[in-house]
Amino acid sequence: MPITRIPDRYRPGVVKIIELDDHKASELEETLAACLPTPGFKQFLSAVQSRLKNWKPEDLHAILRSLYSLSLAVADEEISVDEFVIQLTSVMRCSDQTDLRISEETEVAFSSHLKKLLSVESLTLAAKALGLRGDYQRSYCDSRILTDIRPIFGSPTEKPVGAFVEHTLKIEYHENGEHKEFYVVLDNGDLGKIRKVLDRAESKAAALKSIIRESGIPDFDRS
Amino acid sequence: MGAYCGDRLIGYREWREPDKERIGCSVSEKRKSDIFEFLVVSEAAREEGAEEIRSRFTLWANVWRNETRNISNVREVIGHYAYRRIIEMGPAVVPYVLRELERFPDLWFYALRKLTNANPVRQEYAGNVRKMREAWLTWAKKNKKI
Amino acid sequence: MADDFGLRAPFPNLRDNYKKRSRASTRYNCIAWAAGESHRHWWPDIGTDVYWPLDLTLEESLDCTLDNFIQAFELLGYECCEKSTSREKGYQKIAIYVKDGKPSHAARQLWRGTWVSKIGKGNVDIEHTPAGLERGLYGMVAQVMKRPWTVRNFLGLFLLALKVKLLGLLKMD
Repeated sequence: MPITRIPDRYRPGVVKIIELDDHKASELEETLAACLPTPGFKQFLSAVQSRLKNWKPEDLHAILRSLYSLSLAVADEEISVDEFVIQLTSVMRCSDQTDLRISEETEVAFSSHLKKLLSVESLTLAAKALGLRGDYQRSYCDSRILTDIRPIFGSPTEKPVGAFVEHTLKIEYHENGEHKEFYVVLDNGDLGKIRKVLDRAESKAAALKSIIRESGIPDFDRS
Repeated sequence: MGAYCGDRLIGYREWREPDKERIGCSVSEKRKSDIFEFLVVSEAAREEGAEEIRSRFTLWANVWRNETRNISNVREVIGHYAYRRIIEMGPAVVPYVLRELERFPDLWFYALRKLTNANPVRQEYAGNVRKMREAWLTWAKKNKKI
Repeated sequence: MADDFGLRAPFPNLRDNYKKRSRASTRYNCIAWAAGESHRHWWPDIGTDVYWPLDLTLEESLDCTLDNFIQAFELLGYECCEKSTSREKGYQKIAIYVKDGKPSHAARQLWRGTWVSKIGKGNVDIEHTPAGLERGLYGMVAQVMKRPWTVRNFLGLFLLALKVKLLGLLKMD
C-alpha cells in the first residue's frame, strides 16, 4: 500500500531534511555511513550527534527519527528507494501544509538528498533491527508491581478476620504506535512462577548470545 | 504518554493510514503491475508554457544523468525518481527528450515509448544506443516532433 | 588525483588506485565490456532497451539473478571457478559483483592480469583492482568465471580496446 500522508510526529524531521543544502546533506550522509549500526535509536543518535557537534541536537533528533521511520517503511513495503521517494514527494505535492508543498527546484534537491540518506547501509540496518524488534502486534515498554494487603471481613462492622498480600502487575506496551497498559493480579506463588520463567529466559539468552559471539555476527541486542 | 518511550515508539504504518483531511488533491496514480509498468496521469493536464517545460525537464534530466551514470541495471536507470518525474510531465515533454537524445545519446527510449506509445526500434538493435537513437530521431522527423 | 569522474563517493575503496582508459560513453555498459563488446548495453531484460544473449520470460527479467549472468557468460566459454582474482596462466577471468543479493557489475581481466571495468551506463572505463570496486555502489565480488585464452579472444579484445580508443579520439563515443 503506498504512502498516503506525512504523520504529524515525523513532519518536523521531514521539514528539516527539506532544509538541508548539498553540503549539509553530504555531511550527514558521510556521518551516517561512518557510524556502525548500533542497537537502539538512542545509541545511534548519540553516535551521530557526537560527530556532528556543530548541528543542533534537536534537529538531528528530528531528522534521524524521521529517517528511521522512513527506512522502516521502505523495508516493510519492499519497494525501491526511488519508488518510495516518488510516493513521498507526490504526497507532499498534495499536502495542505505549506512547509511540505515545496517548489520543483527544492523537490529535486530533497529527492536527491533523501535517496542518498535512505541508501546509507548503517541506517537501513539499524532501522531494520529496530523494526524487527517491534514487528509484533504488541511490544513491551515498561512494568510496575503494586503490592497491597487485602483484608477479609466476616462482618463489615468488625475487624478483618484475615488478610493476604496481593500484587497487581501493570504492563505498559506499544500497539500500532500507541502506548497502552493492562493490569494482572498476582499472588506470591505467581511471583515465584514469573521469576522462574524469567530466569530460564535469561539462561537461554546467555546460551544464544555465546553462539552469536562465536559466529562473529554483530550482536544487535541493546542489553 | 509516549514521550518517555523514546525510540521504542518509532513506527511506520502511519505513513499509509488514510488521511481524512486530504482535500483538493488533483494527483492520481494508476499502476499496472507490481514493480514497473505504470501510467501516471497527473499534472500533464495543466497548461504549461514551453519555457517552463524545458526548464523543468532540464532540472530533472540533469539529476537523472548524474545519479545514474554509474549504474548498469537498466531497471534502476529507468526507475529513477527523476526519470519518472519526466514521464509524468506528459507528451508535452517529448520534443525536449528528443532534442536531448539528439544532443547526447542516453537511455531515453523507455520514456519515449511511454510518452508516445510508439516504438520504432527493431529488435535486432536491442541495446544499441546509436541505432536506437537513429530510429527515434527518424521517427521524430517523420512525425514532426522536432 | 582529482575526482573528475565522481568515483570517490560511490567507490570508497578505489581512492587513487585506478587509471582511466577511455572517455565517458553511453554506447555500452559494464556487462557488455566484460563480455567483450562496446556497441550495446547488456542486461537481462526483455524488450529493446538492452541486449541479452538468452531468451527470458517476463518473470525472469523482473527477478535479475546471478544465475542469469553465469548462464550468459557460459555462452561465451566461461566457467565458474574459485573466487580468486589473481592471474592464472592461460586463463582469462571475469568477476561478477553483487549488491543486496542482485548482480550490479562485471569486470574483466586483461592478459597481464590487471582488471578493467566500464563504470555504469555513462561513465569512463578504468583499470583497477577487483577490491577497488568493492564495498561501495557495486557490493562485493560474488562469482569469478574463467575461460582459456585463445588467439581469437586475445585479438578480439585487443581490437576492441583499439576501437574504443579511436572512437574516443575522434569524439564519436
